[in-house]
Amino acid sequence: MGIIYKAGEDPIIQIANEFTVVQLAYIRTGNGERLVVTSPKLGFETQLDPLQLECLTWQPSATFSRLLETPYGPGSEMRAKPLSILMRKE
Amino acid sequence: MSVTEEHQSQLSDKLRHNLEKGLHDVQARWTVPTAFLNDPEVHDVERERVFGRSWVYLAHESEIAKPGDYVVRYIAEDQFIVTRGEDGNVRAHLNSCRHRGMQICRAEMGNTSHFRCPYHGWTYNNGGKLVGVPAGKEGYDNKLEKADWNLRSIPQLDTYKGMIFGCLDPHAESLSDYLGDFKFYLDIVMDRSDAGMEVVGAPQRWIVDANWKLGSDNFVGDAYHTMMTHRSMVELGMAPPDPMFALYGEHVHTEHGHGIGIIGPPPGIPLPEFMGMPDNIIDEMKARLKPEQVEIFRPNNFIHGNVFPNLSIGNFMISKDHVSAPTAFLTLRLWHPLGPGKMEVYSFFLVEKDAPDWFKEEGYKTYLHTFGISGAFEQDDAENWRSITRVLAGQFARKGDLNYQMGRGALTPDPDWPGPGVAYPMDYAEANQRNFLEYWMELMLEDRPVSDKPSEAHRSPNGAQGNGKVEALAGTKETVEA
Repeated sequence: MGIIYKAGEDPIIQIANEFTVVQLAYIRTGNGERLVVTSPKLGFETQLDPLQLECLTWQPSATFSRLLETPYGPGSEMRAKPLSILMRKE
Repeated sequence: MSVTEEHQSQLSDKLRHNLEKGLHDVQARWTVPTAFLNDPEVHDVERERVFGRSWVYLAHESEIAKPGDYVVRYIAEDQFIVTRGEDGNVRAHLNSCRHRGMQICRAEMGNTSHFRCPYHGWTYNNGGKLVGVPAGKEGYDNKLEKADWNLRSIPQLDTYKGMIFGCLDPHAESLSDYLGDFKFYLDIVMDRSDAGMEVVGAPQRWIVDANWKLGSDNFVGDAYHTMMTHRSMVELGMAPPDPMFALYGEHVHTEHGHGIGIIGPPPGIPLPEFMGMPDNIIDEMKARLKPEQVEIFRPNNFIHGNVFPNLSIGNFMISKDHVSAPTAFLTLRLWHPLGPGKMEVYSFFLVEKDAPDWFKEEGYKTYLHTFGISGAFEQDDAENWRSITRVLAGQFARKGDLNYQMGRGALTPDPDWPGPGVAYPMDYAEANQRNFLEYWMELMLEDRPVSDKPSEAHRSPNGAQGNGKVEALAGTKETVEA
């Protein structure tokens, strides 16, 4: 684990293993607070409130396996298009 | 082709002749051909016939104490992720993605609930189950049968007193039977404490240009070399002030090539009982071990041994320098073959978890100063092994014999020894080394019959102890048969 300090900002906790790295930061919202979880490698970010974080504490390991069915994030909504449609026709 | 057929590599006529001659000679003449210590064919064959059939030490449970902890360990060239799952069970998965074979783990230790392959991102939970593939919808129309593509499990996995062993042969006998009578001696070293042993830190690792069997040969029974090779340790005051200090011991071997030497104090040189272990460990040991095991341990100061093929044990009471009092420490050493003339040494320091801090600290320092990577004893030994390996590479050198005749006509088994195995009343002997090499030659020569049925033995791990169960053969049908 590493803690990243930037002047004027709250420190960021970075947690990593050989497979990936995520960063955790604390933010104040209008009337409360959340934890920002960022994936610098994949570009995703989520802001979790205390209830969301609390419910993680009772999740079985299988929950996370299910979430990892798409290991690089949600699948594309786009239909794959054949390259041939971009080719010039006679 | 079944696993067994696959493992039936053919011996050249020359090697078969050498092995048959060697087996005759080691039994009848107490000599061993020089040809086994630096020969490419010997190395190729022993990877399959010795390492492919034996129970090989992988790790200690304390190295993967928490769910998700893993280390990568080897049996010959096969690499395994030895990991503790979220359910607490210990498993060993082949470190190879089922998609293109990529190494899943390239760091050799870490913690994770899931492994994500660096090549295409196939993701497995730490139980070995394939849980996700990128572009599963686009590439496979969500129809990939993930359950058929779990990580491959090691054919057999079991633990004994916290030590995790793996076996590539699904037909091999159980770990408990393989260790057999040697468990009596392992207990004296590994089962002294109610809390069990722990490995401190990561293993020190280094590569030596030497054949792995020289490490095993040295630890299984060679007390003799201490007089010459480690004489400077005596002169420096780190070993007892008698160059022949290692003579005064018992030299014991059991089946399957295992052996141990248990050495007491030289005459007239009082040393503390029970290696000067802390009082609480001595009390626990007396309660845990059989009376004869306690009595064997009481007067001894040095234990060296080897679990066939390549796990050595050193439990020594020596001094870290010329002014310090001798302190006991325990090291396990793994001689991992990298080639006919090259091995990687893994050196582990272990201590009773519930030992007092002073003992852990002093033991660790003593270990580092003597048998760590730059330890004085270690360097003495490695230079010999490297030099032997180098000189025996020669075409003329390979056609000679080595003398294993110590004790021939002079030494008879000790009728009063309270432990199992064959025991000689003096550690200047070479019976353990012959026993090791004899079993090695038997394995090398053995053309195993093809059998489709796994033995019953592996179905019920019966040596399991520790924090969690072990699982082998837990994969798919394909995994079991692969």
